[in-house]
Amino acid sequence: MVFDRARVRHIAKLASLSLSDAEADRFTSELAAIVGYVEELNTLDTTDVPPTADVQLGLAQWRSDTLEAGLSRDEVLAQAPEVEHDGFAVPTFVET
Amino acid sequence: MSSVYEAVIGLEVHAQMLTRTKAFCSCSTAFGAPPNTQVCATCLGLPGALPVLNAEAVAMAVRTALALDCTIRSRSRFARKNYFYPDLPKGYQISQFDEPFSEHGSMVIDVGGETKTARITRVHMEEDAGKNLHDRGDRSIVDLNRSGVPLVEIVGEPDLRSGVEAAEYLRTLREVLMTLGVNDGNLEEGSFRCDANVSIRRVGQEKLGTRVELKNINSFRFVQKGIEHEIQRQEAVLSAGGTVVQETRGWDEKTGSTFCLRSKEEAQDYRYFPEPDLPELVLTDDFVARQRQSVGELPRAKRKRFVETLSITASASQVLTSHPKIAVFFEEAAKLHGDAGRVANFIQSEVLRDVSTRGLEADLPVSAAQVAALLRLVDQGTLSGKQAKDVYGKMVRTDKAPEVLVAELGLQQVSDVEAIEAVVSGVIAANPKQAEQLRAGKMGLFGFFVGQVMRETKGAANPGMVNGALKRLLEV
Repeated sequence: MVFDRARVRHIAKLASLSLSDAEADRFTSELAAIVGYVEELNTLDTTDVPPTADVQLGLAQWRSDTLEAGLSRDEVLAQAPEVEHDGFAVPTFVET
Repeated sequence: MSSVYEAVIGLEVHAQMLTRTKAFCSCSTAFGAPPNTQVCATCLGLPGALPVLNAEAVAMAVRTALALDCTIRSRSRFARKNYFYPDLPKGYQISQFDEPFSEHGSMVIDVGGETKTARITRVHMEEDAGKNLHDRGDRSIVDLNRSGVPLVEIVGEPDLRSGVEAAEYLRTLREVLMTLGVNDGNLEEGSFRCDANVSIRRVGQEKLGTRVELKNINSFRFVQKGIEHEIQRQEAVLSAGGTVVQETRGWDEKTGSTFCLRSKEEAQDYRYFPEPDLPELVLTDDFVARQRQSVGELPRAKRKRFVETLSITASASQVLTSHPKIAVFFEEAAKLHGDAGRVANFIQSEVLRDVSTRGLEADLPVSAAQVAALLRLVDQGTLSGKQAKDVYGKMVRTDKAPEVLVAELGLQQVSDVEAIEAVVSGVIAANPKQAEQLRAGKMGLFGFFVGQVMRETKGAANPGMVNGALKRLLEV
């Protein structure tokens, strides 16, 4: 997969991220290296390895049902494009 | 419904589990907090935040599955259900898909005096989405307090045949969940929600008809009415030579009819795939055995036991097991007093009038000990039945023992023969004409004399002794 600046811009747009030219250049080379590494994995012969959906070893860690403080409302809403009535304001939609 | 077609109904129930914290993070699940104050990086769906499973949610979900006679799968998997919606910040809901932790259960329901076994397809765990507020101007407002609250989803087989059966199935399931302490049964606040799949087919036909999904119906009455309306609608379509379209419909209580929300063409492909952030869910035999032990007595068994061992009527048993707190109250009072039948009658006729329930909470106006003590005073002849009711009225929402109230109100039943005879003599002397008529055989006047004596004694005279005294002194 070719990882050029146009692709980085496209992904940034999908993720609602605005990047400066310098950031776009940096991510182009960093993401190209990451994707290149993942592609390298494809060269491994996994014929005899059973498929798995997770990479964690051992059993799931469960937590006790104990309260812990989360984020303040200001923090929660800090990234919201628009805030009204202490919530995320979005265009009106119909519940389906 | 005509005799040509039969309805086929399967229900999916989503019930919020009564854990303190959310399914995959440590935020509070308390209802009614100000918007977006019970949210953290995980339930906000921030990149890099990882889900960690709440052990109590697993325990509650497993108890639910066991109570519904499901088979438990020792290894199961969480899956991502992908859809794009403002109230779903991650863009997917963590659910279970092809490997739920339990399946193949059943539940017995009572409909019109008959019992019916409804099969349960599966019980699985998932997380709730946020809540959308639509009544705030021209925007919809998203509150993520509910995002990540643990749900148990109970999927039923299409074994139900009418709106009445569907409503009964839901009532029974709600009782089971409340008895387990898994869910508060609160339909209004949306902690117990139901979707219904409804189709009709010709009687005798094996193949299922095209199904319509009825979404988000928030009362048992609307479930019944919505399904009945939908059956009629589909029957009208087929009778007119048309075909039922596969779609999702909503129930409009104002018009008493269903309306199309989404057709099959717009049906969503949820692109399920295994949740890579959570390893397999492994339920050990030991864990399952412990949950099985804590299932306890279910409402149906309790009703049967009340009838068989406490000798109360089936209808009284039904009423007294309608809420877990009421059942506990009744049993305690019955144990303290000893005569379950009398306790059952008194609770039904007096106490339940003042009880309000909200979810798992029941506001009982008196204690079981007060009721038992009050009925004992009647047994001992200290109070008449009528006086007991008066004392009960004064006892409500106080912690006063009935004996204290009897003394305070001077209500002691008069069981002193001489005192009663004195009152009776006075009444006879004051009503010579009536006494003469009664002696002459006009027995209808006997009640008049009883009434007069009771009036004189303000209802405190022992009724049996009044009858005896009147008969002796009037020589009738």
